[in-house]
Parts: sequence; structure tokens; C-alpha cells
Amino acid sequence: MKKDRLDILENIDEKYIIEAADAKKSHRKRVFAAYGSIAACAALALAIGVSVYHSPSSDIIPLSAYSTNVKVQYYDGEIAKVSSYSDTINFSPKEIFSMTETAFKGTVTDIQNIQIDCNGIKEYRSIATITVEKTYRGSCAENDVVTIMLPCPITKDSFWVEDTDVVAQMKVGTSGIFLLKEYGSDDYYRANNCELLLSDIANYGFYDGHRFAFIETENGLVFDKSVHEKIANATTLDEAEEYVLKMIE
Amino acid sequence: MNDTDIIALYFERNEKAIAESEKKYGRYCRAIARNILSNEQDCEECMNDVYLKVWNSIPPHCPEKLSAYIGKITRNTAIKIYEKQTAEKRAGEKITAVLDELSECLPAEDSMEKSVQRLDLSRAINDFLAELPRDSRVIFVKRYWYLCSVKDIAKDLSASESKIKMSLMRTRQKLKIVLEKEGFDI
Repeated sequence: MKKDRLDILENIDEKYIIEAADAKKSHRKRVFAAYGSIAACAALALAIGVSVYHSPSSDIIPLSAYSTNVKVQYYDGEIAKVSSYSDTINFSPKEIFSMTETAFKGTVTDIQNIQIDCNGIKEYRSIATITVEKTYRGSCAENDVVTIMLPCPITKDSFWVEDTDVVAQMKVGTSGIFLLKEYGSDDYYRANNCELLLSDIANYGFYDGHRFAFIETENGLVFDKSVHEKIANATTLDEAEEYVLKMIE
Repeated sequence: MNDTDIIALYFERNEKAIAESEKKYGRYCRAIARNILSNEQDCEECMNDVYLKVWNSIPPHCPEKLSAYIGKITRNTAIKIYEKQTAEKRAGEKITAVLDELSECLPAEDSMEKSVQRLDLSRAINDFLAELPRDSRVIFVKRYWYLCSVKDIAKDLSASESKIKMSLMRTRQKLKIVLEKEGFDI
């Protein structure tokens, strides 16, 4: 009987089942890139509205076979300990901008903490979803929706993680200019005999959490004034943008 | 409510577990059932069976990924209802095409010495999926696990139907070659 072939596929790995369920989310970027702002919003809304298949709200982030001995899940519990993500090497502004692969202005539309479980050792980071408004360097376009891994979790309490004092202030609605690394096939997080292909969980990441972002907060423009000395007195994102454009030229 | 809390309710034998499962995964499971079954009445019958099976299986089971666990039970239950309909000659055409496509790349179960060979086949298919590019794998799983139509996959992934069909055909061809190399008789 032909039907038994459906039974054969019953035992495919659960991570592929979840991956396929979540696939629509990761294709959003292409939808937006293809159609432009208003049309893209309409197309996405229509696709979600009429789709026969809907994604589950799974806590577990499906990973590719390149990630081994590791489990990543969205996490809304209390966070007891966060390891430092510190990179203590001093960079000049020129070096910072030459390292930057992608730079854009955008607004945060979602932030969720994640727990990375490496063979029992748990680390916490967060994933920010950002709508791109203007690209200064890199391939993303206006209205693309991209994800960035932040080197720290976002909590209501001020949670100190070394070298993350700028990005730790990001929240939904925050606008900013972000200097990023695009995750590719060689970018891994390795710890305790586990390997996490970073592009499995986000499109981009920060080299560190304080020198590579300029963000607008309730307390004004926040960035590392000791490094970006030329605009130490800047108070608006427009001033930061002018500086970024000059540095990128 | 997160999965751990929902599973805890099942272990406590608290009927709120079913309501929370429906709240979180009802839409997802109905989408799976609708891909297989012809009408809403059958889907509702399927979902009632699904929650009963989940209630009876947790405990002792403690699924690590609740979405995949309930999804699997939904798929199996819907296929069983489909089989019953086939026997009663009132089945639709929904999964006939999927079965025809799968006959190109998977052996029929009655051609295998069950259990051991089936385990080997599952392992071989999972190894094959691990090596596939992500996009091809997603398309394959949507079509042959979730039993989505080519049209719906194209819509979900913002691609053309011809691209989806081409991807499926190439993946089936690759799978056939891989399985034949492993000694399976397609």
C-alpha cells in the first residue's frame, strides 16, 4: 500500500519539523526586499492571512546540522548568571569602521532573550528584530526585517554584562545606527565541546556591545563617547548618521 | 504559557493542559490536519482524538519539543482518518499526489524486513536531510511531512510554484540515489 511511505517519513528528526514550521519567518527578509515598503507589508499580511500552514509558537530555535551538542531556546525566566562577552582590544574609530561589514539605521520591533545550552552550561543572549530604514554599508535594503544577536540578555533590571552597556539599553521601539558583522558559514560560537553556527539564530551580530552602536533612548543618544570622540557632544541620531557617513566614505 | 508549564499540567492531570495546548498549538495542528483531510468536520474529529491521545500519553511521555510531539500525533491521527475514508471510498485527492511522488524515491514498507530496516531507512533519511541545503530541506519537509500543497509552499516561501516543484523533483532524485547506494530497493 502506498500510504506506508508516509509512515516512513514519520520519524524524521523533530528539528527539521520545527525548522519547516518556522521557515516562513526567515523568508520575511526576501518578501520585503522584493516589494518595497507598503506593497511588502500588504504582501506579508496577505501571506500570513491566507496561508494554509501556520508556524507554531515553539520556544526552541531549530538549528542546522552544523550546530552540534547545543540547544537554543527563547527564554523568559530569570537569569542568574551571564558570562562576559568582553573584547578588551582597543580599536580606533577607523579600525571599527573598517571591521564593520554592514551598517544601517533601523528600529527595534522585537527583542527576546535566548538560552544557549552547551552540554549543560547555559549562556544567555538576546535576539533583536530590526526593521531597516537606511543602509550605509552591506546588502540589506530599506524595510528589510533582520535579526541581530546581542551579546547580553535584555532585562528590566539593569543587568551588568561587561562591554555591553550601549546595546543593553535596546528595547522595542529603540532607533539606532548599528555597525555589524554578517554571520556566515565560518561564524561559530564554541564552548564546552559544543558548536553553534551563529547564522542559525540570527542574520547579524555585534563585535562588542558598546563601540558598535548609536542608539536613541529616553536619556538621549547613547554611544561610546570615549571612542567616538569626534561626536562626543552629539545628542541626535542625525548627528551620529553624519559621522557614520563620513567614517564609511 | 511555555511548554514546560503545559507539560507539568498534564503530569498533574489538570484538564487546563488541554486548553493551554489548544491555545498554543491548536492553529498549528489544525493546519496540519487540513492539509490531509477534506472537511472541517473531519478536522474537528481529528483534533478531539489528538488531545485525547496527548492526554493519555503524557505521562508517561515527557516530550522535549511539545510542538513537534503534538504535530506528529496530529499528522498520524489525520492519516488514520484519511485511511478510514479511503476504505469507505470517500477520500479526497489531497494526498494521492504526495504518495505518487514519494513512490519515486522511497521503498514500500512491505518490501522491507520491518523494524531493523525501517530504522536504517529513518537514519538514512535523516542523514540525507542533514546534508541538504536548508531551503531544499524546508520544502521537502513541508511537502512530505506536513503534506502542504505546492501552491501553499510557494505562497509561504514567496517563491514560484515551478521553483518549488523543481526543488522537490531534484530532492527526490537525490534521495533515490542515496537510498539505492545504501541498498534500499526503490
